[in-house]
Amino acid sequence: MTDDYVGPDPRHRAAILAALTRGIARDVDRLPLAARLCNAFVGVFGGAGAAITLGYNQPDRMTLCASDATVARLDGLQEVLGEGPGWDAFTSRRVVTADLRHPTPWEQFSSSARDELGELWVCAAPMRPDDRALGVVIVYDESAEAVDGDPVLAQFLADAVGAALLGHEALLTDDVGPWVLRQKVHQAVGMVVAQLGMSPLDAMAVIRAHAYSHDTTVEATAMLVLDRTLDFTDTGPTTKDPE
Amino acid sequence: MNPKPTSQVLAEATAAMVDVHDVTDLLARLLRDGSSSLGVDAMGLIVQAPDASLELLVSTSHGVAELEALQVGRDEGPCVECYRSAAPVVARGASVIQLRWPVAGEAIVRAGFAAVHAFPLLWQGRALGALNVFTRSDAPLDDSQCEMAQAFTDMSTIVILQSQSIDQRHITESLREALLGRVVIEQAKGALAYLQGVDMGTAYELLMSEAEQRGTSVTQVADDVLRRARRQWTVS
Repeated sequence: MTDDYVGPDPRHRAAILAALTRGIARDVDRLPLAARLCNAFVGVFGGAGAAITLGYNQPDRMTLCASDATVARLDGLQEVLGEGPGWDAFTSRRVVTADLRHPTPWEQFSSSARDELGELWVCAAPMRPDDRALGVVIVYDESAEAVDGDPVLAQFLADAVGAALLGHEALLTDDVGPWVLRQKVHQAVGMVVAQLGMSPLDAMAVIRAHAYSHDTTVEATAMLVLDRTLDFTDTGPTTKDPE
Repeated sequence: MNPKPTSQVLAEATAAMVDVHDVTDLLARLLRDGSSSLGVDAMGLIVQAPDASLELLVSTSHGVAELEALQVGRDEGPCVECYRSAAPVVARGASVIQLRWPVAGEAIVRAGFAAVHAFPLLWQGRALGALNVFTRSDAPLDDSQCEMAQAFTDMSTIVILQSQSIDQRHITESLREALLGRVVIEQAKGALAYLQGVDMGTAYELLMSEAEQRGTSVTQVADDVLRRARRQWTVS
C-alpha cells in the first residue's frame, strides 16, 4: 500500500489479531508454523487456499507453505514465468488482486493458470513487517467474494504473518521443512554456475527458462541437474538419455 | 521443527501496525478477546517499568486491577513470581493460594477466584512482565488453553515492544541474512560437487575444512568457491 496506509480501524485491530492468534494456536501439535499461518490467514480473510513465499524475486525465494495443490501451482507458475500478481505485490509493496477470467497485465501467467486450474480469483499481499517487503501471501478463490475483499485487511494480515515469521530463522532452514526441497534448487544453481561460468542470478534464470520451456517446475528441473541428467555445458541444454 | 514456534507464534506480529498512542487500548481489547477465547473469568497484565519496578498495565476489570496492584505493592503473588522466574506459575484451590501468598493470595480468594495461572512475557530469554489468568473454577487450564494463553501473552509482548520502538528492521535483516547465507552455501556445494565429481555431503565437508584451515566463515569460503567456479571457466 502507499505511504498513507494506516491499517484497519484501531478498534478492529485487536479483534483481527485475536482471531489470527486463535487460528495460529490451533493444530499446534499437528502442523508446522507456516501451515498454521496459511490456515489462519484464510480463516480470517476468506478464500480457498493460501501460500506464503519469502523473497519473491530474490535469490532466497522460498515457498514456506502452500495449503493445497492449486495454490502451489499458482505459486510455481509465477516463479517459472517471472510474472504474476505475487511479483507485482512484492515489487510494488501493494496488495494486488486479479480476476483471471479477464485480461491481466500477466497474460502468460493468466492463460496458463486458466488452462490448468480453471476460473480463479487471486489476491497477493506483500508481507512488510517493517518498511521492506519480506515476501508475499497469495490467496485464491473460485469466486470473487473473498479475494475481492478488503485490501486493507489483506495487508494487515500479511504484515502480521510476516512478523510472525521473524525470529524463526531456524524454522526456515531446518532439516524437515520447506528448506529441504529448496536447498536442492540452490545446489543446482551452483552446478550451473560451474557449468557455464555465470553468476548465480543468471544460473537461476537458465534453470527457470528451462523449466518454462519444458512446462515443469523449477524444483523438478533442479533435480535433473543434480542427478546430472541435465547439463548446460557445450551445446546448450542437453538431456542425456538415461542408460 | 523448531521447538519454540508454538509459544512465540506471533513474535513481532504487530510490528509496524501499532501506533504508540493506542497501545493500552489495543492491549485491553486483546485481553478481553483472550479471556473470552480461553473461557476464563479475568486477566491482568503487569510489566516492567523503565526503572525496573513492576506496574499494572491493563486488566479486564477493576477488581482484577486492584489484585494486580496489590501484588505489585506487596511484591508477592503469581504475577510477581512468574515475572521473577520467567516461567509459568499455577496455583489451584483456595488454601493453596492463601498459603503461598498470604496477603495477595487472601485477596485473590476473597475476590472469588479458585485458580490462578501466570504466563511470562518473554523476550530473548528475559521476562518483561507477566499475564495473570483468573478462574472461578479450580480446574487447571488444559493444553490448548495454555497454548492460547501463551499466544496471547506473546502478542502482548510484541505490542509492548513495538510501543518501545524496538528496531524491527534489524530483525528482518537478520532473517534475510540467515537465509541468504544458507543459499550461498548450498550454491557452493553444487559448484564443488560438479567440479570435483563428489556428492553434496562431501562438498559440504570440503567447504567446512577449507573454512577451518583459513580460519574464516563457511559463508566466506562459499563466496570464494562460487567466484573461483566462474573464473576457472572464463580463463580456460
